[in-house]
Amino acid sequence: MKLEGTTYINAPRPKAYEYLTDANFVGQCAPGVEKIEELEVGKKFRVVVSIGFGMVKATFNTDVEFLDKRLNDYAKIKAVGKAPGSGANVSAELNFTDAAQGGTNLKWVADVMIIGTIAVVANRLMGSVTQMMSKQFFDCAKGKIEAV
Amino acid sequence: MTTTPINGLGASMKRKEDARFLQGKGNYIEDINLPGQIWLDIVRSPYAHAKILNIDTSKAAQIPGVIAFITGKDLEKYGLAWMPTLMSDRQMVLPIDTVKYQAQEVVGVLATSRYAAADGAAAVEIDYEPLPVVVDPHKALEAGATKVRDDKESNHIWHWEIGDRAATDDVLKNSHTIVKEHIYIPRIHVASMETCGCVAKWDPINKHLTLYMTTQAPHAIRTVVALITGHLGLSEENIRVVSPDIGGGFGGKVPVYPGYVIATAASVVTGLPVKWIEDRSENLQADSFARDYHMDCELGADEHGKITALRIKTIADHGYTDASANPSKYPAGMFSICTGSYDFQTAFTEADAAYTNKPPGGVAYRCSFRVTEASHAIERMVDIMAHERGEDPADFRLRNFIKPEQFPYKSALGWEYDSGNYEGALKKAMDMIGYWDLRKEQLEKRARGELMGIGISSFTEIVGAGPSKDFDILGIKMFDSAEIRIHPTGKAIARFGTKSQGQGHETTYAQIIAQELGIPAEHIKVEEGDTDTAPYGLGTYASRSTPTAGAAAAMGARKIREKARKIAAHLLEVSDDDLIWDTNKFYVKGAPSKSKTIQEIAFAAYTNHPQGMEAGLESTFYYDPPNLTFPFGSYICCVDIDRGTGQVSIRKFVAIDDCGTRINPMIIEGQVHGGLTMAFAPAMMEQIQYDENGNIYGGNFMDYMVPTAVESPKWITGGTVTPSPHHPIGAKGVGESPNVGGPPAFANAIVDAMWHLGVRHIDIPITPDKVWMLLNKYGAALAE
Repeated sequence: MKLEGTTYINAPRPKAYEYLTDANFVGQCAPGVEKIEELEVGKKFRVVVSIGFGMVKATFNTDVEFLDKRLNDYAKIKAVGKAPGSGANVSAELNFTDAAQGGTNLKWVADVMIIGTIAVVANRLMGSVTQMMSKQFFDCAKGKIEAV
Repeated sequence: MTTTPINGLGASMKRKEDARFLQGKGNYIEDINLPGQIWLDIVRSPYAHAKILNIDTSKAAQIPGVIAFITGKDLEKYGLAWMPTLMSDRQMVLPIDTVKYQAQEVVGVLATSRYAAADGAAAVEIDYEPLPVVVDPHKALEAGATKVRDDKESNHIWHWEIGDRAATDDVLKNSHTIVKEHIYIPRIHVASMETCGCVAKWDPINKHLTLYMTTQAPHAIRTVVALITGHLGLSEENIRVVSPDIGGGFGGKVPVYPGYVIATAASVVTGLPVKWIEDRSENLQADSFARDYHMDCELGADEHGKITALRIKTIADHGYTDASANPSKYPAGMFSICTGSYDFQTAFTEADAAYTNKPPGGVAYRCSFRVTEASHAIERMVDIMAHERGEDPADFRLRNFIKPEQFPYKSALGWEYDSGNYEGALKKAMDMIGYWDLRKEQLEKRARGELMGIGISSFTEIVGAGPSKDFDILGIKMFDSAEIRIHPTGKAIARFGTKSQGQGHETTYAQIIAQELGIPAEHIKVEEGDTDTAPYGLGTYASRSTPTAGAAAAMGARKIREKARKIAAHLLEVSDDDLIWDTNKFYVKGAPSKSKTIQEIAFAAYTNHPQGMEAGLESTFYYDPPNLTFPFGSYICCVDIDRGTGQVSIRKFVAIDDCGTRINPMIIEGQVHGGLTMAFAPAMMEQIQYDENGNIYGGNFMDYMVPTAVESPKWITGGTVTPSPHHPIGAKGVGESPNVGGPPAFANAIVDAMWHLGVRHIDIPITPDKVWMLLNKYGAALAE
């Protein structure tokens, strides 16, 4: 499932980049994050995420890794999650550019593959819930960054 | 004095087995629990194609009650990681390093209770590396496609063809009218009420395995187990397979599933009885499926509306292994029955099978080896041709039917149809439904903008596999057997190599013997399913029980009757030739009062048999049918379609079945009702789909729609009787006919309702959204 969008953040590019590549900050906004453990400074993390699709809920033990980072410009993230009978593979890219009116334009694209029980049981909700969660995340991140 | 009725052929006696079923006293796998028994649960793959990087059972091992784990690497040490399929392909019991479909078995978890086993399975952690997935058989067959099987050169499994390709090309090219259609019959699942399971009990002292399991073919399973485990010292005489009461099979309980083998291996390793039962999702997601046939069909007709030729090219999606249960010589089953009920002599059909990242199978769904696919193809094409010619589909069929006087009839693709009266069945169905009145009403409604359709299906089945010269599974010939013992008091026990899953064998077999020997069916006990006691047979599927084991029952009973004649002659002090058989006794020619009943003869067989004659009164008969049988019927369906919602209402459905001689009309009625509901299901509701990642959509009862009494239409049934000339009692088999003939009747009715709009075809299942999309496309959907 391919997801993409653009979010305007009323904050300078270095600030937006700094927060959105900080796993602990991201964890404050990403829906369902219960625990973050840093395995390799600034690069690898183990995250416990609890996600519900309608009545179906699963807790994923997720390995998150920054595959590529270009300061203030770009970040590429890979996440592989495991839950009993289910799995999630997410590949995401964040592109930061200066907005004409000042602030930062964040262009993001994510390739989400959910497999197993969650996908089978909740298939009708998968698209809408994933879209909703993406929106929740970026709305939250934008608000927090702009408020700091 | 009240005498027990004999209840032979044609008697609608109540089913003997229903006393226990209706009181909840059936004996199913779930009811079998052995002392010291432990439970098996299975960890399944969420991925459709992935490498297994690591299996971590440490957390699972901490769960109270969890005893042990079994992986593919454990089984590999004993040469049990792979097993043969019934189509001589091979299938993983547990994977060593790679999974090939979602829900594939990966790790077996053993525990002291079912709950602990399930908790243990949920706690096993497995790391996978996803691999590319191919779920479309067309893409799987393209050059450079992701290879599903590392041990094969490509995803192409086999090519099969029959008929005259060049002649068919030529005749079609020169036909006055040619119609073409791509018809897809999706992947469906039998969804029987009882899922699969087993209790395996290994006796380490006597090296004896008892395997209670949900199987339609216990003897074949025993032989397969012996072949798989022979190198480990397990010998066939020390294997007992018991198939207890079964809650529906429909083909889905023919294959050997990994769970059976894992449970057996676990029992051997632990020395404890091991029980395994699937849950509903496991059953729907991992067990062998049916259909998944992509058919390109062409039918020709001359200027007078006579069919000239048929060509069908099929792509068959078999999942990651060919685990279908077809006779060895027929990889596409009996698909060559696709010329149907029609008289034409030029046809060609070919099929190519593909591996994909889906569960294995290609098993039947209440039909005899791909006959439903064939029936759907020809009945849809005939209907399309009739409409294309602007002709009534009934008239077109009546002109093209094989006529009664043409039987035995050699079809274009080589079958010799035994008997039939297709015109008689269709005309009876037309009379019962009031066909021409409905056509008149349809015209009136159409003028008012209302959508009403009438669909016909005049199918011919092919069942009763089969003659040993052509039919075998893994080399075992497809005869079947009956062993009959008459007790001294004139009662009897009969054992068979088949296995009822709800068909009513305990009643119908008893009725056949009752007819032949005059012993009341009530007093004939029928047993099946225990390989230690039943004679060898290939089991029950493909409507083969009555054509094979039913024939064996009649022939075995006749052997007993011939011996009874000699005993009666001895008792009456006359020559054998002076005796005449009447219902339940022999009497002396010209002196009817001088007679001996079968009960008197039975008693004498143990107390006063002629000197020099073997005592007792019993027989064993292995029946090797000379030909298959060809049941047929005509179904007519009348539908109304809501232009606002696309909802199809089945207003009336008439089914005329001809299964030859009728053993128990009430059981036939029940079979037809059940079969029609199982035809309605895939026609209108059922489908299992996969996304591009191999996720299953339809793997649970929230998404896989099975009709209940609420959705099911009212069925109006009837019949004609055209006995099979080669079957000992003229019977043909009926259990699957409605499922074979039903789907095209629904589809034809729905297309008929919309033909004038431009609609030419709809693939099943015909859901309201599909209908509405077509109505919308052709400008006929109501805006509000």
